[in-house]
Amino acid sequence: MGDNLNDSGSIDFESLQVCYEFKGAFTHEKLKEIGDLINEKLFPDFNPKVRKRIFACSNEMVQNVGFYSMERTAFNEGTIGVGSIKILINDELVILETENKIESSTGIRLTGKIDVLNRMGEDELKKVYLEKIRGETEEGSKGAGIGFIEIIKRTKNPVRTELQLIDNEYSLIKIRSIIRKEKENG
Amino acid sequence: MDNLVLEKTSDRLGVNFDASTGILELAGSSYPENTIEFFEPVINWINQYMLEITGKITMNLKLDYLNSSSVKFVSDIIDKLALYHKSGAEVEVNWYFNEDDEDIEEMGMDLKEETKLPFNLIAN
Repeated sequence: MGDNLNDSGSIDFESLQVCYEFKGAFTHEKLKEIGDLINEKLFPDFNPKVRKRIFACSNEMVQNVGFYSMERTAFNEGTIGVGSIKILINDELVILETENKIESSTGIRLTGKIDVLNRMGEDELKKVYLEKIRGETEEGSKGAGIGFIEIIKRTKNPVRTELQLIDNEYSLIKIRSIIRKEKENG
Repeated sequence: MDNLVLEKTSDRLGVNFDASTGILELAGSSYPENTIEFFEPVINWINQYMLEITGKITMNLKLDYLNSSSVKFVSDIIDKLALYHKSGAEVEVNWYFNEDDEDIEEMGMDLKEETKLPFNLIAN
């Protein structure tokens, strides 16, 4: 899948401004609160298609932190993941960025899987997507295992990942979804 | 057999399954806290209808947004209906989409491609 950022595929971070930031427990209520902000407050003049794309990416990413972050806090009768999210914006792009603690070995596997998805063309991605939704859920997955495919399909951009070692066992994983403010064909 | 009616909320689909007509409708957005907990009674009701009523099913899907976990359950429902259809039952799926919503339209096209069911894509 082509990278629609610029010729070098890099993000101009200096031009990005933070329009939302949260660090804490990624509960379902927080997911809904961020979704409501995206739909109602943060992007009032955006094309509704683009706003929905941001909303969809946010839901998948926030749910992932809640499910899989290794930093956990007591919630209801179980635990919920702790992490952070930022929504960054410039003239062309909206970037959703989450960060959470992960076992380093899991992080390496996950970033490898995302790299493979990022390199797929649209047809191949669709084939894998349909196989996943019609097959058994992967062991250890708390969702359908297609969240990152959804993000790549909807944004038509690769999902960016970074792993930063904390200690021998754990890393911080940073995940970025990149959404163009306007679609190429309107 | 009782009808299954669940009110639509911001993160849960509205469900209106009528056992007397076989008209089953799912409408709205789906990103519930616990996807299995939401879809389990929905799928159980369809299973019971297929066993007890054995009548025609018209499934009307009027979806605004599905998170990835919900997509899998909707696909499972369509697979279930396909098996029912294969056994000789009359089944029709109507997938409604807003003309401006290419994500929902594309999802409908993908699912239509994967099934032998009568599957109508209907632009609002």
